[in-house]
Amino acid sequence: MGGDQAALSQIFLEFHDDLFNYGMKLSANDDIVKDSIQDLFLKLWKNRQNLDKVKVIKPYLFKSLRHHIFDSIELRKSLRLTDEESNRAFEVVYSHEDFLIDEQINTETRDKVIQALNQLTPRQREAIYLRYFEELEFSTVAQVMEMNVQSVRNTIHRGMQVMRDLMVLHVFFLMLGKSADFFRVPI
Amino acid sequence: MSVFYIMENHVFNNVEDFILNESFKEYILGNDKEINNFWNNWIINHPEQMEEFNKAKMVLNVLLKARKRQVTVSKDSALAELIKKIKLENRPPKHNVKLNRIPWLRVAAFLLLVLAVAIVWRNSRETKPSNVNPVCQIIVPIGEKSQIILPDGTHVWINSGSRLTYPAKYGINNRNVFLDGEAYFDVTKQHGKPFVVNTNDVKIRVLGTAFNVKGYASDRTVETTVVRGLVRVESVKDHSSAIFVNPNEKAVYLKKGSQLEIQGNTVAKIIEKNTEKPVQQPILVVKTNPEPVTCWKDQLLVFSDETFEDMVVKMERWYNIKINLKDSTLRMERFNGKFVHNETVYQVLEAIKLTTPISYKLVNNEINITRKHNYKY
Repeated sequence: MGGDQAALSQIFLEFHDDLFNYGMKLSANDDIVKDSIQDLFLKLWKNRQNLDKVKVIKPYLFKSLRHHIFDSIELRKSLRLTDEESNRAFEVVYSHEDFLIDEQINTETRDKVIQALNQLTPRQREAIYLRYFEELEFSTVAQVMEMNVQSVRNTIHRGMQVMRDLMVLHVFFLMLGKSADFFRVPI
Repeated sequence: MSVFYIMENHVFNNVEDFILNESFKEYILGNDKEINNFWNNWIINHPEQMEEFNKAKMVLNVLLKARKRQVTVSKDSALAELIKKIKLENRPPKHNVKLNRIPWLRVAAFLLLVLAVAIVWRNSRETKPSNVNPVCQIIVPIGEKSQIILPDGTHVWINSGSRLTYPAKYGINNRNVFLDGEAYFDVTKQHGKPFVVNTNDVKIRVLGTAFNVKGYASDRTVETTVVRGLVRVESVKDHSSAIFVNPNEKAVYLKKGSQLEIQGNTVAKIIEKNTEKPVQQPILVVKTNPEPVTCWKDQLLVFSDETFEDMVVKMERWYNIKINLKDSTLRMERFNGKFVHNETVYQVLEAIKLTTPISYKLVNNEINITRKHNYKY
């Protein structure tokens, strides 16, 4: 039992931050996210004898967290405990806090990315988050979001189209250090 | 290099084709030299796709390099919280919920509490000038059951025909109770203050545990069955007899003139015998399933491979009725059965009738049971 607890603690510490970040993209209410992570691991503990069947833990944890948060939001809705923010499952907007200011990317570019990301549908946003922020394989994103791989590809593809259209016009020249030429490129 | 070979001839129609390409993503991350070289050469060889290539590079660049971890909670404190919850989870559930299903029991418990408080109050007033220690006493008549929560939060269920006594200043210096009969204790842990159950024959010391003590004056044994935690049982007369009892074990103390018969290491049965040999070890520990022993507190009358003789004793206490086994051949018949609190003694007897040919008669408020000899299936 002591060994089990040590193993659980290790998994917890390893994935907590990733789970928290992902959770905050699903619900802006950090209490919901915190509680959901706790519930998730408590459930994991109760079902620890079945855990051997789980081959790769990260997608399993992500998928479970997704369910816990969704259930929690549904519960709050049914109990009328909701405020505006926690009500919107999977609709969290990106903000400056999600991005570092890299020397290669100026604030203007960053703002455009945020703006573009926020134009996407919740599904596109979530898929892009899992793919490019968490660097999950397409197949893993599919597993977490319970979609088939092709749908995930299509979702991300469409999302990127929107991002490109929104971003390129404004900032492409900034990135390449070029100017007016690119404004004339029909997009 | 086959992957790169394929890529060499791959047609990228638009920006998204680049973005979704696994190798291209690695290129933006810039961790793999080979991939970096490949894409740097690729774009030199495919100048016509420069525009898409650069757009894709920009979008991915922002996404992959500019993302930031924004964790606002400490994972260590979150883990500490989780461990606390796991520890709570490992405890068996409390029985408070079940209480609500039995309204009369709640009323009885409340009345007893009021009574106990009244006694404490009266005693504390009356006995102040003298040196006599005031005590609280709970007497549960045959056919009834009760429960009480002691000042330290320890929960006690008291079975029919039992008496629980404890000093009014219980919990101040020590936690001692005196039991005559049967009770189930769910003891709140208090460091440095062990909880002690005294019976006429044995003394039971615990810290925070749950256990059942059955030691009616008319019984031939005192049985301490442990549900969880660790319990120390010792004979009142002989302190060296102290023995530790773990969960799923019971300590059986033999009163004078009894002998223990162990069956298959799990069932202990006492037979009365005038034996010349004195019992070596007055307390024996045997493996047991605590469930049938403790379920009386949940209003279940359970017989688990018990002789008719023992069942009669239990039923008499449960139903407050005298039962006579008129046929001695019935005494050693064994039964299993489970009855809920509102089932009558007749329902129990009818159930026995299904497997054993008996007949019973109520005479002067006593039940006489005889074997039915011409029984046919």
